[in-house]
Parts: sequence; structure tokens; C-alpha cells
Amino acid sequence: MLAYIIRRTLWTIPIVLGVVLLTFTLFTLVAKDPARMYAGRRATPEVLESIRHKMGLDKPIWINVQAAHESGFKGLFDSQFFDILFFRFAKSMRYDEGVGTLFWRKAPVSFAIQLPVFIIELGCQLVLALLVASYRGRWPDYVTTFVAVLGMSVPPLSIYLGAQWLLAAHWKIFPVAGWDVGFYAVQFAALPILVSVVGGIGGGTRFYRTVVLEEINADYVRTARSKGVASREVLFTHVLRNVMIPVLTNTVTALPLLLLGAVILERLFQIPGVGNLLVDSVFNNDRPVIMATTYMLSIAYCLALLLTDICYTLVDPRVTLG
Amino acid sequence: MPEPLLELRNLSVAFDTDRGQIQPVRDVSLSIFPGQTVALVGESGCGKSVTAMSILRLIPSPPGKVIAGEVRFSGRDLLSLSEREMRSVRGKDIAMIFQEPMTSLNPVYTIGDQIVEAIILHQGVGSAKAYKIAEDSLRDVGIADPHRRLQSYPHEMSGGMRQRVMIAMALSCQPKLLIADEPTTALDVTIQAQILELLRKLQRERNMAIMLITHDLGVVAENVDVVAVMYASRIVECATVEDLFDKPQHPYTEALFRSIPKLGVTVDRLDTIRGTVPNPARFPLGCKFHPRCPRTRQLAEQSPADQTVQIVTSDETFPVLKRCKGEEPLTKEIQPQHWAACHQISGYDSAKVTLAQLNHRREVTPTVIDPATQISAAQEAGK
Amino acid sequence: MTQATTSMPVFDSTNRAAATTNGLWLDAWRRLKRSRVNLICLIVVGFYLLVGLIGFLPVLETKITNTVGGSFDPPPKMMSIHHNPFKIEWNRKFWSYWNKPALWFGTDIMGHSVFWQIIYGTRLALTVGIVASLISMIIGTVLGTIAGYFGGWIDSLVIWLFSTFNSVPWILLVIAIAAVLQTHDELNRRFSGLPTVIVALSLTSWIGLCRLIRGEVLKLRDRDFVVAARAIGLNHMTILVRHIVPNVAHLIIIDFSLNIVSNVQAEVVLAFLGLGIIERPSWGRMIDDAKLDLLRGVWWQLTVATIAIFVLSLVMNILGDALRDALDPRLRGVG
Repeated sequence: MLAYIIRRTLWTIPIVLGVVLLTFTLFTLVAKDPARMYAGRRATPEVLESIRHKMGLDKPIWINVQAAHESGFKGLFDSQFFDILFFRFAKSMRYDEGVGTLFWRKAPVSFAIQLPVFIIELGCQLVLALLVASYRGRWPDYVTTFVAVLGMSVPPLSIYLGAQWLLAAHWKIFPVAGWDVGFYAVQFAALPILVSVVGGIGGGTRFYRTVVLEEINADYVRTARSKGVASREVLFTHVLRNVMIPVLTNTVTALPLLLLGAVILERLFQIPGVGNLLVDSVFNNDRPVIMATTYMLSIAYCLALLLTDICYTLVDPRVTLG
Repeated sequence: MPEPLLELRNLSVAFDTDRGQIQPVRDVSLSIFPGQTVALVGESGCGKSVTAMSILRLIPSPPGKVIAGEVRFSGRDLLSLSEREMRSVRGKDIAMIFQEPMTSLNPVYTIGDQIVEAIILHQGVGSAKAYKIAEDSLRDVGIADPHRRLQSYPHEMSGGMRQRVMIAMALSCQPKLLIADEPTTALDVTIQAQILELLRKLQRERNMAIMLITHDLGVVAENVDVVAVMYASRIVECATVEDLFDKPQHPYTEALFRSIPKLGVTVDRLDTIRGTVPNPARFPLGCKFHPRCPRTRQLAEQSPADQTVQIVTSDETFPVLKRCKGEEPLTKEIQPQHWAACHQISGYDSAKVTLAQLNHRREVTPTVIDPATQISAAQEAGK
Repeated sequence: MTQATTSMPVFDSTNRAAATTNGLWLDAWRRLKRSRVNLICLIVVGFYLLVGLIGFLPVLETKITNTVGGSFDPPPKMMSIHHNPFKIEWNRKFWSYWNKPALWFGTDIMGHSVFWQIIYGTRLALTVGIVASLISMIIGTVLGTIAGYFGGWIDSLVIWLFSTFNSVPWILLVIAIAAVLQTHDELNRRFSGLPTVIVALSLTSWIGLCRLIRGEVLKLRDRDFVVAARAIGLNHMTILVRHIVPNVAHLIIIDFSLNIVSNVQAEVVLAFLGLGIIERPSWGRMIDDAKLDLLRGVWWQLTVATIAIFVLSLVMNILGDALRDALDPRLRGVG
């Protein structure tokens, strides 16, 4: 078990390096003069220079030979590349705050929306998929699958806009947008959670339906039925346990996304979460924030994938370790 | 005459496919008496497995459904039972084992859990007692250290072991009938012999009837009392094992025998049956065997031209008898206790259509020796 | 049965390419067109393509900038229903609009015709959808086949590459790429932001196909027909193009058709984030523009653009499923 975890963890290292390289390539090599983008066309050279310094763009790209001469070996890594690798992000240009503190202030808000969405959605999708699969080839199956395809085909943004207009602006059931501290956030969270579930439920149901159907046709299901086990029982014991394996992958890898929040949703309902922060930063060319969010969440995602593989061993006895 | 334990009467099963309806089982009649072993023999795709599955009503529905006939078990028509009543038949009165021991067990549960599931369901005992029964039934099928094995997962066992587990699971509730759907096909020869020997032993101890589905004539010769040969979703011949191996009547059965090597007979090459098993979606008209039938070809060459008709297969054109192409033969009792479906058997026209019932038990020693039997016998002796 | 000859057409289950001419694709097509729903979907796709082509006419550039009416003129009303639902007031002038298509779907804030914007938007959506899907298809196919076929360090490299891309959440990757590319403003201005959108979408959607094809090629590599092709001395390029790629073509086609949908949908997201198409009315921008107007009761821009996306996505989803059913070897054959 330990050997497996170690080997799997070691494989994560090149991936993390890849993510660093990807982030770095994008933001440093491909992007055109981020300081100028932030400052605008008419900025004076002095202003531009100070912005450049703030963003850390005045440092060398790969290694800092000059700093190494001045302050010893450690100075060698005082470069743009190693700033990313070692999480030394510049402060946000707009908020003049460290990206880390900014992130941890916003993340709980995103989490408060995303966690209920995630739980409700996954529960509904699994139950629906199991039920629909047990009615395969009959009308409940056709109706649900068709409705799921309909739901998948509407752009989520239109669903959000329509619901916001109808339920909040027109019928005034929910507040249109906004946020509050503590418990009072519930009234603002309700509508985003609702529309998010409605918008996302179709695709997952369809996916899990195929997964369940594949398992339902497996030989062991026939064996269980030949023993006299009721079909519903077969579904919820034999099939569900096997279905949990792909479900687990989806679930664990979705966890870091809970922190990221839903970008469109938060923007539209003016929820001060990480997603909203990200969009703000895009509009304001706030490069340090975009870069740091991309990098940190990607690494969280990597770790989640690692965690998934380890969780496999708990659900599936066939996964051999070591 | 005692009542048969299981009786299929004119059973027909249809499947809806996107190319129209197909009938993998048509007008099948068969009886099994207590303690008897009946073999259902045929090439793959001829409808053997669907017949077995429809006895337990396990065919997926939709698209499959029984469109005609009866399945009588101990005097009850299984097809008219409610799903709940049917569940108490499955596993308790009739158990089934399958061809693929690799995939027929649920990979994520221990074999103990899977055996116990049926015991708790049918015997109304507590969990501790059920594990005790499961342990005993594992011991009965010859698994060493059954107590520890209850905790094993299927992937930790070999194919032969898993098939033993399947048998233990099937027999844990003392069923009256065991349906064994090609139980040894996926196993290698040594293990095959062991598994069959095990089934024979358990059958003797419990007076259990076995319906053995197979395409292996060696297995048939050695193990069964009565044989039903299936071709293209019908039973084309049914007789006692001695009768069938002595004087096969149907040209398909004859051809099957000719395709097995015989000890002491030198031939240049073995006969094979021309052509392939027809796809149920595109059965030929008339006798389903006529495009491959040597008998009708031979007779057609000697018959006047007005009684023959030319047919075209993918690689040749030849004459067959008009009657074979035009009319499908019924399964008739052409000799006492011997049923067959072929126009060209003498006495076919005067024979009657009766339900095949053969309460016959084989002699203890196999009457027909073929090499496959000898090999497995030798291996059994060796171990 | 060593001499067994076939009287029935039997599908060669190992080499799909061998069956290409005489049955496989033809059979797939026959399966596809058997359902009337699929035929209707095909017709709808054809209609979209036609409208998209109309969008390329030079006259459209002026049509979308011409003022055809006042600010926020609603579409013509067919009838009005007052408090008594049985008293319907028919609008006599409704049918007189038949020859003024520019007014069918109302006007936007500048008095521009929503009808012509939708047609122009179709052109942009299809361009984004098809071009981005094509690029990601090429990346995915090339990387997937060479990784699966050659194995070794090439395989490891490709796995590393798609694992890396896969480690960045999709929305973050799209935003990051689009935000960075947006800085190249001269290029973007010349092509109204299309390069940013297309590159961002194609760089994020090749991963699934690449992984799928790699797995499939890995299985194909050791099949008899590939080994035989190698044994008679064909070079790798020929084997890849003639034997491997045709055998995974069904995966490519299915993925391509479903990718078009996700790319058209993703364009809406980018437009909402201000990273999308600039200075031209794409469907995404029309929905995005509507978010404030909606509160003022301007529903037509949102509705029309949503319906345009919805119908296209629906038919492509149905066709994608139908293609999968028709081409998936696991589902073929009866009995």
C-alpha cells in the first residue's frame, strides 16, 4: 500500500512541474507586456516601471545570476520562474493584498454555494440514474433521458438569467443578487444553488445512467438474480457498489472545483467568491491573481487526482497495491 | 409414470431487435425427472442458453419475452407466477450456474457475502448460521480451508475455484434442479473433469436433477441420461443417451458425431458441417438445416428433377429436396422413445407429434467411449 | 469447423478498416437514417450550415450595423391577451411584417436588427465550433495515435502532456489562455476576437479524444492485421494512416460532433467573461448583452439567441448519440 502511494505520489511531481511550466509559458512567454495592459496606453514610463516592479516582471525570467553574485546562492532563484514554483506571488494589483489572504477570504463563500450544489446534484443524479436504468427501454427511461438531453442543450447562462428574471425580479421570491455575512447569506444563496442544480443535473444523470447500464448487463447481476434476489435489491447492493468506482473519480476530482466556485454563477449573482474574483481579475488585467489562482487550484486538482487513486483501493478490491 | 420435475411445453421466446423480431427459442418441449441429467446440446447461438434463462424468467425484458408455451415445475406454471413468487423459486428450487466463472461473481463482494445472500433469503436463518451453512457448502465442493476462503474476493481465486464457488452458491439452498449453462467451457480440461465429477457426486447425494447445457459431446456421453439436440432454436432430436449415440436419426446429429475424432479409426480429415449456424434474424425457410444438410443433397441427386430445387449459398449451388426447402418438419416420435424432426426419416409421415418424456437413467458405465471421455477419465484416475 | 464457409455476411470484428467499403459505414448510415428523428436532426444541421453560409455574405456586415428601428423595438405581436383570456385581440398588422425580416425578432439598444445579428452569429458560432473542434481533433488524433502506436518515451511524454493539461480545471485553463491571448490586441482586432476564442477552446478540448484514441490504439497495435502489415514491411506512416486511424475513425467522428456543441456553449461563457468575440454579434454576446436589458423587459435578444444555441445543441447531441449507437462495435450484430 505504502509503496503504491509513494509511486503514485512521485508520478505527481512531473505533473506539478508541467503545471508550473504551463502557467509560466502562458503568463510570461506568451502574454504581451502585462504591465502595459494593466497600466493602459497612456501610462508614463515611470508608472510602468513601478508596476513592473510590483508584478515582479523586472526580475530575470529563468535564473537571477546578478542576485546570486550579490547575495549568494539563494539569490539565483530570485527569478520569475522560481517565484511561481515557490508560491512567491506578487500582491494583487487591484486589492493590494497578498493573493493567499485574498483567496482564503473568498474561498469559504464559494464553498458555501458549491458544497450544497454538489451534494444535492450528486444525490439526485445517482438516484435518477439508478431508477432510470432499472426502467431501461420503457417510458420513464425515455422521458428522463430526453429531458436530460434538453437540459444539457440549454446554455446554463440562459437558465441563470431566466431564473433570475422570473423568480427574483418578477415574482420576487428571492433577492436578485448580492451577499451577506454569516447566516443571512442563506437567502442570497438559495437561488444560485437552485439554478446551479437545475442546470447541471442533466449531464450527470445521463453519464451515470450509461455507467449503471453497463453494470446492469454484467454477468454477476444475472447470477444475483438467479439466486432469487429482487431486482431493486440487486440494483442498490450489487450494482451501486460497482458504480461507486467511476462516481468516486468524479467526486474527488470535483472537490478543488468547489473552492473555485462557479465562475458565471458568482459573477451573475454578485457572490464575492473565488470565481467572481477571477473574473474581476480578468477584466482588470490583474495578472498576479489569475496566475496564482490557476497555479494553486491546478495543484490542488493534481492532489485530488492522487487522492482518487488511493480511494480506489478502498472501494475496489481488484486494485492491487504495491 | 412419475411426474416430471420440470416440463417445457411448446416454449417460444422472441426478442425485439432493431432488425425486427427474432425467435431464439421456438416450440421447445422437454422434460426432466427428479435425479435425472438432461443435456441440451447444440452449437453456440442455437438458443440453448435462452431456453435455460427463460425457465428462470431471467431473459431481459424488454426486448425479450415468452410468446407461447408453458414452463411447468412440480406442477406449477412458472410463467404465470408473480415476480415475488418467482423469486422464491430462483435459487431455492431451481439454481443456475453459468459459463463464465470469471465475471459471474460480483468483484466487489467477498464470496462469503455472496453465498450467504441466497441462504439468508431462502432459509430464514440468521447471519451467523448462514455463514456456517456457506462454509459447509464450500467444503462440500472441495474447497480447502473454507472458513478462510469465505473472506476472499473472486479475483483472488482461479477459474476452477470460482466455478466451485458458483456451484457451492447454487447448491447451498438444496435446489431440486440445477441448470448448468456450459459450466466447464471456460475451464481447462483437467479442471473440467473435476467439476463434472463433483456435479455427479453431489447429484447422487441429493437426488438433484441437472439440466446440462453444452456443446461438448464428450461431456454428454459421459454424464447424461437424456439428450436433446438443438438446432436453429428448435429441438431437432431427443432420445436417451444410448439411443442417440447408437442410432442418431437427424442428419444434424449425425454430422455432429462425424465431426468428432474416433479412437482407432484413421481418417484423412474430419468431416465438418458445411456452412455456419444461421443468424436468427435470417433463418432459411423450410427446414432450418437444409442449406447445410448432407442427407437432402444426397437424396436430391437421386430424385427426379420435379421434386428438387436448386439453392444458392455463398460458395456453391446445389439441389435439395423441394419438401425440405418448403416445409418445416415437426418434432415427432419417430420411434418409441425417440423424437426427431426430419422429413427424410422413414416413418416420419406416420409418426405422431407427442411431448418428449423420457424417465430414463443411464447405465453406470458409459456405453459409448470417445477419446474426450477417456482423456478426462485418465486424468481423474491420475489425480 | 475448419472448413466453415460463410453463407451470411460476417463482420470482421478486428479490422474495421477492411470493412469500410462494403458495409461498415454504409451499415452505420443505414442505422442512422432508419430513425425519423435522426433525419430531422440532419435536416436541421443542414439548415444551420446554410444560414451560417448566408452569414458570410459581405452584405451582412452592413446589415448588422444599420439602424432599422428605434432602441429596443419588440418583435411584432400576433395578439394581445388582456384580463379576460377569452377575449383575444388579434393584431391585424402582424402579417404585414412578412416582408420585413429585419424586424421579425425586434431590435437591440442601438436599433440594430436582432434577426440579422442571429444570422451573423450563426456564422461565428459555426466557425468557432467547427474550426476549434477540427484543431482539437487533429491534436488529439496525432498525439493519441503516435503515443499508443510507438509507446515508450513518446507515450510517457504524451501522457505527461495530457495529464498536465488535465490538471488545470477546464474553466481556469480557458480563462487563462483567453486572458493571455487577449493581450495580442492587433491580431484580435483584425479578426474580431476569433483567434483568442478558437485557440483557447481547441487547446482545452483535445485531451479527452487523445486519451481515448491512445487507449484504443494500444489495443489495436498488437492485433493480427497490424502485425501482418508490419511483417510485410510497410513503414510506420503507412500503417498508421491506412490501418490504425481508420479503425479509430468512429471515435474521432463522435468526439468531433459532440465537441462542436461544447465549443458553441463555451463561447457563451467566454463572451460573458468579456473574453470572447469583439465588435461582432455572437450568440454569446447577445445573451451577455441581454443580462441587464432583461430587467427592463427586453426578452427577445436572450430568447432568440438561447433558442438558436438550444436547437443546435439538441440536434447535435441527438446525432452524437445516434452516431455512437450506429458506429459502436459493441452494439452491432444481432442475436
